[in-house]
Amino acid sequence: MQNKSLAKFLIGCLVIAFAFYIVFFGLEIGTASIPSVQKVIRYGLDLKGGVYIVYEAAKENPTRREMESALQLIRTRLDMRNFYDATATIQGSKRIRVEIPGVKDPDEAIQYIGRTALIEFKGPSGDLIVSGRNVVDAYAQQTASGYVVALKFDKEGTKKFAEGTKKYLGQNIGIYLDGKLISNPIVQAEIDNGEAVIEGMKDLEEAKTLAQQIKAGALPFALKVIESKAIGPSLGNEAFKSTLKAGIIGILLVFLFMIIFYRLPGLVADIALVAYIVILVAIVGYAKITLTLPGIAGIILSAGMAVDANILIFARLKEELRSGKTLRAAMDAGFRRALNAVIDSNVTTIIAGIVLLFLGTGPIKGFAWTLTIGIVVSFFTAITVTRFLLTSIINTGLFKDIRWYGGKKTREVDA
Amino acid sequence: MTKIDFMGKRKYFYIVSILVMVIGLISYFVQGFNYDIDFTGGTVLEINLHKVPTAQEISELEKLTKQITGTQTPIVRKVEDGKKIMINAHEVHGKTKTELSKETRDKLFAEIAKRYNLKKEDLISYQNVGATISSELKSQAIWAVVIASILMLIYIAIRFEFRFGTTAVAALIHDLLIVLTVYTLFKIPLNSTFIAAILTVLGYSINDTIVVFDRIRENRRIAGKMELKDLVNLSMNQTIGRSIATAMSVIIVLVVLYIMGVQSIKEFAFPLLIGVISGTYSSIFIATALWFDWELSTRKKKLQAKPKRA
Repeated sequence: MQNKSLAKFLIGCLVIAFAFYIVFFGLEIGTASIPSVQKVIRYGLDLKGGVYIVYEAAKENPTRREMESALQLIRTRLDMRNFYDATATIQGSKRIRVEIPGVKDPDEAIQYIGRTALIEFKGPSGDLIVSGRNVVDAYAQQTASGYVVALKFDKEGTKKFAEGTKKYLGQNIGIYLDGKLISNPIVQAEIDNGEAVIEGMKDLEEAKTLAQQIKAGALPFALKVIESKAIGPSLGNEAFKSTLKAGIIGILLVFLFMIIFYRLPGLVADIALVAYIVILVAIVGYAKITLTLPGIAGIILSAGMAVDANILIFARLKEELRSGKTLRAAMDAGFRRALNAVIDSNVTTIIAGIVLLFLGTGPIKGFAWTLTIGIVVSFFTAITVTRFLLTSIINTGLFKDIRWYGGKKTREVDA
Repeated sequence: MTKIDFMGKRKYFYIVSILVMVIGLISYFVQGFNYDIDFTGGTVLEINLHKVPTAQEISELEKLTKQITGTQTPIVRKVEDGKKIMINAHEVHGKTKTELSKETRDKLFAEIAKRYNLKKEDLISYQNVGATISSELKSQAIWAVVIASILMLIYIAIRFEFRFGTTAVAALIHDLLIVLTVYTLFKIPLNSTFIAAILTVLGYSINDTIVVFDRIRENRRIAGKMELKDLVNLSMNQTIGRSIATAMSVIIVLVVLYIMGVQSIKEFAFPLLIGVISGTYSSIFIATALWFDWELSTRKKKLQAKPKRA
């Protein structure tokens, strides 16, 4: 019984240590592998530097579909620039938040993302014949005369283009990109097959880019930049390092504090706290919750609050021991009677976390996530891990003196 | 067990709290809040000067910013190790304030770069915020607090009773006012992390109050005909150790974060620290005392009502 309890306790500690190792260092067995959390964790812009831009639709009450097509367009443009790391998300009813890591100049990015690539065919007097809205396909081609972009119009566009080329036969039709004249060919014949060609591309790359831009189409509405920020990578790195260091030191001090005040149960709480950190970091890392600076603060803070459940239980345990109960009875009573307070106090904090989750944006959301998950996990570890380890170690019968549990004078207590 | 007559001294604690709030109110009317550009709209530039600027240099930088951007009261402050500065500025177009245009921004940085012999990468970061975001952020903060408070009140009213819920929320508003006092008194910039700080304090404060109330609820069930005052005092004495221990473990972490963190973490940790201290204090002295006074007054009314009926 006593040896079995000791084995239970040690196995419990080993499992936690092993989980710690896997999460922070990764694991490889044959072909199967679990990457370490550092490799999978998604860092927020404030930790790795980059640019973020918040756009707002310059239109009253845009529909969800319009917003989604604008988002899609922004994604296409980001991809065309090889910003595969970039994220674009709809925020609220009329905003789009774009985050591009590694980029330094928001203005350049804004210019690129905001580009409409609106192609227009205009008559000599500047009257619009047909525009990119009627284009169904655009692709780059190499012809005898060099690189071109070939366009295909829809039914309406075909008709308009045929009318235009008939009207201006022998005259110039201007091809405008975003209002800028890019080529001004003379119409040789009426074109009624719905096809047009833009000549004069420098190389295949340019032709491809233009084709993609035209195909990506124009935004359903203008986008206004209402917020933008550039964060230098060195700043992000520095912030991350110092916050992490502060976190580790803070948590170590809490470890020490628990052992000094609660002795043996304090040590058990510290082991449970390690389990808590492993679980929390694993969730944030593997579930790809973006880790922001306030997010780290949330983790550290919830670690501080995580010990609260343990403190509640141990304070009770101490009291019950004082009233003369046996160790096991005192522990059972401690857990049972502290449970109400633990549940009620955690639920109220979670309410605050969830409200924050729904109302917050950007980094605040990161904070709310880690805080809320942190409280749920801490609740779990306090009533399972702490309890299991404490029961096992009490059952070993090795620690009978009441001083192990924070008593002031030495006295034997029965298991 | 330590035996402190908390309830007997509750008047002093009311006075202390009211005093702090009055100081906050005065500070608010004298110097108001230091709204960060998250709230006002504008541009923040963070520049590495590679040296700690003197007070005179700071005021010169402010003058320069005013000259180039037209900002009436530009703010230049030292951050982190003191060798870096943040400049808050905006452009004025009629009645509206906007962020700096690229030209103005470049001009401002070029001018500073010339004086301090800086390179391009010494402009560490800059941020533009429109004023529309700002007004939304304000209403967002207020709504977050109101919604969270109502939900907590409902939860406590269900799990405990309405009176506990009301006084817990009263203590929470107390902590909020204390934290706001700290913001105005120490001119901590109000930005988007402000909402996170406020709500964390709410969560912590209520967490702490619940534990004390939980003990009163439990003791009331088993204590029989104990005097109300003794019952409350007993509950407080039983929970004070735990309250202090929990507060300590959070305070340790926050203090380390404050000492070692970067500017944005510092600005976050400081109000949290005050909030946690205030939350611990209010759950012991304010929430419980208010509940006690309320309970006492209804009992007295009942006693007065009885003889009339007889």
